[in-house]
Amino acid sequence: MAAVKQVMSQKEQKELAKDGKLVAWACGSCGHKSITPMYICPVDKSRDIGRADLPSTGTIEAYTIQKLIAPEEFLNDIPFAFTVVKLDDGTLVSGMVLDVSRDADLPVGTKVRHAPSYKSVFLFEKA
Amino acid sequence: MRDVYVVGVGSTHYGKLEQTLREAAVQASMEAIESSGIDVDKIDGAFVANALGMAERQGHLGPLVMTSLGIPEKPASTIESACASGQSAFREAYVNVAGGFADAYLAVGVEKVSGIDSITATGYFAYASDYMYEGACGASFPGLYATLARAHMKKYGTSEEDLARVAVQNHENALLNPKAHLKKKISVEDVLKSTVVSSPLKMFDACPFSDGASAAIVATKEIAERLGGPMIRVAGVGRAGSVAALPDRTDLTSLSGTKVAAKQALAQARTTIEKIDFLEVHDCFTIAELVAMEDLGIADPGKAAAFVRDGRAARGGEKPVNASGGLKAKGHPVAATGLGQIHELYSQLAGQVGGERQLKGVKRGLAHNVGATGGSVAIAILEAEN
Repeated sequence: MAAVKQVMSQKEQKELAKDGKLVAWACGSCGHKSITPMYICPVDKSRDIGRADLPSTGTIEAYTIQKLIAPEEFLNDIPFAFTVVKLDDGTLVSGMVLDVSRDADLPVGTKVRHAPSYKSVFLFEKA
Repeated sequence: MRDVYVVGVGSTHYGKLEQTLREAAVQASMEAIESSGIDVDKIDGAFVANALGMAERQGHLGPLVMTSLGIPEKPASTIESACASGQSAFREAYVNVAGGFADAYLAVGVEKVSGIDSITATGYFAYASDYMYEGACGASFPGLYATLARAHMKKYGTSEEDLARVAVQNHENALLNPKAHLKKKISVEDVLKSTVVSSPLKMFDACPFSDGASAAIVATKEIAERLGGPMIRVAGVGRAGSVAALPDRTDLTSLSGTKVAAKQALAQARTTIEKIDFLEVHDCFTIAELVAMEDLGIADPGKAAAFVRDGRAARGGEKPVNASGGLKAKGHPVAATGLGQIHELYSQLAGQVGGERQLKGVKRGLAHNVGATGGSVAIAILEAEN
């Protein structure tokens, strides 16, 4: 039996993000991209999976301001925003934006840029 | 496939329990056994739903429950599908009986979180997200549902008042439910003024952390007839999933797993959503109730808020939703919740609720249970036979 091909480990994805490179898994057949590990494409079931570099800028698609609670490692960062960012190529990614306390500070459509950090793989700042 | 009936149900009240996990699970199970009248030796096994046993340093709960029930030789496995654990366990019990591997099975769900502080509990809940891509980006569970709420507001113009009305309705229903956690009448104004947790969701948009246990026993038609209780048939079950992490989805205003599971359950029950008399849906947050109503087809996308506003989902409305008070006010003991919904459907269909909360003339109910943000979805349709 052929060995299962691992295109990229989650650890590699994390390390690359710290160096400022956002990368996703991508289907070589239909082009579907995913920021979570993909071995078989959920869209066309292709196993031709590769890696794709993602743009580092995009806009806020949806967000929440975490005002009261957060996973323990981020409690000291409250208030901050957890967001879904639509990158310039259309790929959706999670995005943490620090130092945001009011909804008006981060309306849907706000332009953001990836900010390499040890804090979180997907830390963004307002562009 | 054999016809399967719910022959007995049981539940602790939801809220803060002094009992241990085991004691609560056994209490609900004993109630189900006694309400059914079944000889305990006739129970072939159990599925025990539990998601946060680590809060009490207790895993492998099944054998503890079976030992206390006097049937230690019978198998019991733990089912974990986050907040959908309860109905997932119910479905596995159903599958065993329908498939002919067993004649009677127990499904019991239990959770106890009152022994841990809310920060720890928030952390445990977040472990059910796709952690590296959600929790490790700062998302709490309220945060994930708040993100869905924001997307829904943007796409459909849903307002904070629309969300608040869901909370008000569920609190009104819970006032009449003796097993409910939050028994407090609230107004739209109260919800809007409550502390913001994860904008736009506030404290009163969220369900409470509850302790509790609920159980159901399913059995063959032959056993159900012999026991002589109400004939409540499991008409259909559905079980599906959705892409785990929110950002990997194409639509942030719907939980696709709900649509898939509903289609399965309705097809098996040979019915349509129009013919469902009442529903219990997974309203861990107010937005979740609106999204569930839309995904189930009770209202068109973006129209569930108006359905609630017009009183159509109220107890006296055309399609009562969460007459129990829902997760929002009845309470949400994570893995017990799905079985609590089964308890509610059974009790309504059997006419055992009584009083003002008893729905009149109902023959068919649907229960909808969600794990995380739809990563797991389980649906069951129960029907009363005459």
